[in-house]
Amino acid sequence: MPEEVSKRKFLKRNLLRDEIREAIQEAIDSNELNPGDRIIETQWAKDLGVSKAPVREAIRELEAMGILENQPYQGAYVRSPSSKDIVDASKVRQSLEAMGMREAAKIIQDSELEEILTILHEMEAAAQDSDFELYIDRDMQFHRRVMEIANNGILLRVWEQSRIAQWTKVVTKMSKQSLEALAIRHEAIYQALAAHDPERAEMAAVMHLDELLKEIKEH
Amino acid sequence: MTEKTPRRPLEKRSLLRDEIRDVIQQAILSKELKPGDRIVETQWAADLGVSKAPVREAIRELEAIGLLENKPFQGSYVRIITAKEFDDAIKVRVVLEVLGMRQAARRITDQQLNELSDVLKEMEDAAHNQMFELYVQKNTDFHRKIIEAADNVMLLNVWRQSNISEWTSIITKMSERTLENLAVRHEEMYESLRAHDEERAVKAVTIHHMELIDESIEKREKMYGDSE
Repeated sequence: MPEEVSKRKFLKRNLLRDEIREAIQEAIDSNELNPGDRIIETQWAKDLGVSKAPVREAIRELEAMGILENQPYQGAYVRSPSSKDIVDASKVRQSLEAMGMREAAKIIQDSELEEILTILHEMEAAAQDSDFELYIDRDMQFHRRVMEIANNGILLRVWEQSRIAQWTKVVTKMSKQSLEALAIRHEAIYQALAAHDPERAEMAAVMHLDELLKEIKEH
Repeated sequence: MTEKTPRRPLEKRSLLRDEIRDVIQQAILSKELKPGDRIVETQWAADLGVSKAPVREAIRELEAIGLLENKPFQGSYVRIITAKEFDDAIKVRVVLEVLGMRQAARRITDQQLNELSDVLKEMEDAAHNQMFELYVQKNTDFHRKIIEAADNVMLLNVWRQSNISEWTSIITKMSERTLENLAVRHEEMYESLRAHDEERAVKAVTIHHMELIDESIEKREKMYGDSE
């Protein structure tokens, strides 16, 4: 059972089952739980200090989402994403981020551009040092900042809840491109934002993911 | 019991919390409850003949949609949905449904097309008979079935979580155009899918949304325009 996911005080005014679902998703995203690992209802209930009912609901929700699968008479297991899953998720990401880029290009402020540039430089430095973890972290931060700057609360919420940023890790790992080549893609996005060119920003975002998608399909 | 609409005990058709949510939502959209009005959990539970737990869940969902807001230590209140929120929601919906239509145009099966056709017919019948609630339900079903036909689990998850169907029904409920007008748009969406024509499908859903955006601006003004 993951050590990190300790009993949290559920301070947020959210539904318990959603909180539990997120806790399980975090455990999966952080690799504390891996494909094939079992989700034991009673253990999670105990560790989180909740009853089994909301845990069961959270598990069902995750099964519906394709993140867990139910083996009859055995329980819920962490599912390995198939190529199709990854391609499909990337398409959703592409659509949401294309929109985010477009909107951000229209309204981005100079101070925000500076922030993005800083993150970009950190990404490039991580690539040069072959620091995979740092690269991923900066990559996710780059995208998150742009989505925030797009100033659409619903877009941001949807993007965050779908944990699309977490796919970055999966997809980047699968890519045969060097981290440096991947970093360059973000340069193109930055330039488009700096030019306040929505079309160009959208295209840069789409191409960025198209390349990754092509590789996944060839995998 | 409130004066205007006596609350009847609910039947267990679907999830209790969803039914409760719909009742409260309707009270807000019909202006029975106004921005600033408080939603008292215990009162609603008593009126509807249910326990507090599902009422609490319904309230939280309405908070997530943005129809209610929670003021710490004070409770839940009806809030005004800003024009920006409307705009934001529709923009996100367009993006998701464009992707949905693209993928559905390629992947939709004959069975799914037939089911979609049935829903479309039910939508048109409801419009013709001025059966508003039924129309709204079928409209939501229509859009959801297309997303399902896209066969993209992530898309379906995201679509569900964004409460797009809730927004669909809210916007539709606020519309005063004849229902038949509204049902007709969906014909072209259906036909484009049957033809498995991706570009045509994208065009159809984009135009549908452009019209929706115009309407929603009107409707929002109507909804809040004359509030005290």
